[in-house]
Amino acid sequence: MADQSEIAPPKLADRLLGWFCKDELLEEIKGDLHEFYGMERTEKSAWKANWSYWYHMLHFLRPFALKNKTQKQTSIAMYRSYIKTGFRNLKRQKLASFINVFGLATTIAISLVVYVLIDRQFSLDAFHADADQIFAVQSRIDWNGTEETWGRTPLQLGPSLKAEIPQVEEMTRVTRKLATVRFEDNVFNEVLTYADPSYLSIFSFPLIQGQAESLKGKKNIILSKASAEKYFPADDPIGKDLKILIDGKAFLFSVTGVADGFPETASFTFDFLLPFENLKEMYNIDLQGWKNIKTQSVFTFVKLDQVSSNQQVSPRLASYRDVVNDINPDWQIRQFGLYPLPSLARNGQYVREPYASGSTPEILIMFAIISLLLLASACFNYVNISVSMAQKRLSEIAIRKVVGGQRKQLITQFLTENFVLCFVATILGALVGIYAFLPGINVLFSGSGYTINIFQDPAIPGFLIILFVALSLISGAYPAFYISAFKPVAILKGKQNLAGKNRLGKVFLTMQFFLTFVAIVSGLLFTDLNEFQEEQDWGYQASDLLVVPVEDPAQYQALKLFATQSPGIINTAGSGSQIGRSFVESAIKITDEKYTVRTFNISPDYLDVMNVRVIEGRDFDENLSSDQNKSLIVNKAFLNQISDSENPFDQPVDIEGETFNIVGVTENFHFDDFFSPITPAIFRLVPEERYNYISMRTTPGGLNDTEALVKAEWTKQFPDSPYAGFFQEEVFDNFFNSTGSLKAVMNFVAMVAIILSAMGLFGLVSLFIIKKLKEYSIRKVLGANGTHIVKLVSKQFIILMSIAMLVAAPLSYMIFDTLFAQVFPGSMDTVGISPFLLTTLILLAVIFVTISSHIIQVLRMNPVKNLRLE
Amino acid sequence: MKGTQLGEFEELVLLIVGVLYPDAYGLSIREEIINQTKRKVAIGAVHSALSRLQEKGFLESRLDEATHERGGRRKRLFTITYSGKRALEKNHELRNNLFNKIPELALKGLNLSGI
Repeated sequence: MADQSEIAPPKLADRLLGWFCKDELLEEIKGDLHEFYGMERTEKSAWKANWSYWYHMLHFLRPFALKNKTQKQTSIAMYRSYIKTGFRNLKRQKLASFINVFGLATTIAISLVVYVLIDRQFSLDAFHADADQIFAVQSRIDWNGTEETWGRTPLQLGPSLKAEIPQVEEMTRVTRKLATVRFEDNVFNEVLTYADPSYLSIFSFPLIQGQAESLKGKKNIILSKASAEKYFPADDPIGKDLKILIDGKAFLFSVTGVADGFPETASFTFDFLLPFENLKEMYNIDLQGWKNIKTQSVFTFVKLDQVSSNQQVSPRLASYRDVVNDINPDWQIRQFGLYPLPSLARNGQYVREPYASGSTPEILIMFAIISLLLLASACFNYVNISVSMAQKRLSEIAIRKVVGGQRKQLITQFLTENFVLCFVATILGALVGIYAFLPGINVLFSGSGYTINIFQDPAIPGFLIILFVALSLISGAYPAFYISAFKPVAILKGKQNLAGKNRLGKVFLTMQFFLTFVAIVSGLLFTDLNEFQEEQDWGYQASDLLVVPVEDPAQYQALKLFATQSPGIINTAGSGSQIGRSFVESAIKITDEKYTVRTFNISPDYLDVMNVRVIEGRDFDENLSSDQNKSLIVNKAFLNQISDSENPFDQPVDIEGETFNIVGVTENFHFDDFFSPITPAIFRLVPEERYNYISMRTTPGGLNDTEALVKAEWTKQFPDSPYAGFFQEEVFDNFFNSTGSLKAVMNFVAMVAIILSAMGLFGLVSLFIIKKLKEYSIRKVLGANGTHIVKLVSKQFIILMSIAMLVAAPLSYMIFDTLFAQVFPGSMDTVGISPFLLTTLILLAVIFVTISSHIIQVLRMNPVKNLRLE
Repeated sequence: MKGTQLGEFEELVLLIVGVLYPDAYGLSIREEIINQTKRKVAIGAVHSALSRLQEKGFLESRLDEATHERGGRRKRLFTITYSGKRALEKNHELRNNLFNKIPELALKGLNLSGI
């Protein structure tokens, strides 16, 4: 018997055959197939015999062998009829269908966009071949007792790993540096990427011209498609020599390759790719160093032979840590870690100086919650409206039941109709999402460049189908089960009314209004905050200030001289980094505590020109030699957070081994954006060679004229260098754009929420009125006046709405108070309660309009008509 | 009349049912077709043809004893009916007649061009 079970043919195939094959033929057919299988097994392998069994089994899918599907055919006809009635109902109840389809389609479109945004975060860098075998090596550092992850590692780590650990198949070190790139008349400041030759074999950036191997040639350079078009719009770039200028020194590189356009999902790309070894002569960097990661360091990527090798390689990194820690006693590294490439960008924001980073998850999570709430809101409307509309179809239901329709069939009918509606909504929603909302997002968040190709990304149709099915079932289940339970006799006798007090509906509605309240408040708050930020004191005078980046002292001096001759320029100052544009961080020690602070290297008159206000102590003095290398000016945040504020001027500050004294304190000023709290910052004087910017204070209103003059002078004197001047008041433009975009998004969400909840209210009120129509008619006949009817209709809705708003107002105040306290402290004080009052007013207006449209209907109706119809 | 025509494959199956008498059933017929014609035939195709032939009245069938290798299932044995035999004869006659009517020259030409 064991023998027989061994050669049993595939069970599933047998079952399938039994399912479709005529019973009277099944025995002989199965017998033949089994006998055949037995013969096959004696000569062939099991899987071949199985395969051929399946093949022959499926060949019985012929008319002669198929069961008579008469039953199935009628049920198909049934579905066809359901779909037809579904469409007819859509057409007949135009308003209800519009509300439902509009609500669902809008929320589906929003969800689709949110899905695309979130999906993007999870597909970043996944296009690289064997992405899960690629790891970034990052350093975990003990930073005043807390562990921080730093993106960089010592330079020698990568080569050592490759040489000593067999599982490391390939390694590349990467770093990015700024330089001027020139080809004939095209001169621009560019970010250059320096990498070991294996960069192009680890990462999948295919070339459209040239060979990836050419990166092994020291003086070769590979361009991105965009850079190639920028520098060589008409010519073939291959073989051309690019001049790279660093601190006045020129290096020639020959173009040997052009990369194809990069995928949108790349979190990092390159414009110019140069061999790593050039760093030695171009920047005098010791490529074999184990120096601490602060001064000389690089990003390191490894590709392992297999994903699981991670387990063996990670522990071996400890010995390298010991090597580094021995050399740098001041900079103890806790551990080197391997971080997988597919999640590198997503986690980038938790890393100091990450190589790759994605967008902030908080905003995406907020979007996801918003879209879910909106979806729920639209579903609720649907439930509400379809139950209320069922009143009109009661006799249809009764007749269907009387002529033998079972409850199961009625449920199927209503669910099918619901599928029809949701299908229309999904198609519309997808179109709106792809062709309206997504381009809108791209415009709002400039440079995000999201596109959907519905045919290329199978996840998008998948998401839509799941959403479609889920929505159909969630929104359709309650009406289908509720309506189909009605007793036909009761309906036909006229006794059946939409039973119950619809408590669930009221609870939903209250919640909906609560959420709408929060949405409107958030829209208004973002609007207010945006305005407030634009009026915010920057801590210095940003208007009438032209800033030009300079590359060497000659340029600085030339511009300074030009400025003294120009009547439009009042005064000038130099700086190593510019407030709002750039900064350096330095590690300082005060009474043996370590801190990192923003450092601005400046000329003595910088604070004066920028109008950074000194509130304690004094400004730098050009004539005091001690100021040159012994004095510091700090901001108020430094004073509050780091110094002993009793006597900050007596406290020596140690910066990389040198001792400084604080001589002045400035008012806080904004250098990042208005969301980040102001962190401690210091100013120190540096000699002219280290100035990278010259700031020019112009006469009020003369900014544009002065810039034209400065630019002309620049092009005349320095044809080799790009002119990159900018207005100081524009440094936060990016930031303003993004909060402005957030404001636009929140206002849009608030609008959708208002519409959805108004529709919900509309549906519920009409349900309520339909139920009470007879009562109102009788009351009218007995002489009730208008005010009485108005009171009757609106009373309970007014009560519900008041509850919703009374709960929502303080709660949303608390929510936003805590939320904004994190990102923008003190903002709620400036905003006050006006947004909450305004929201209440808006909602009251919406409620009033929605209810009164019904009330007018009730007041106008002829009571006799309603009573006579019964 | 549509129902009484013999298709090419049907004729083949009918002939082989005759050849295999009295042991003609689905699988053995398929085996024989493959042996004789080197054609690739699915079991389902044979069964389909058998069912059509039976509908047209050219075949009759009975169920045999169950056997072990068929998992205890019986097989359906087919035999040619009188009208089946008639249909075969008619077909055979028609072909022979037509073949004999082909002029010698045409056959020669056929041969020549064939070489």
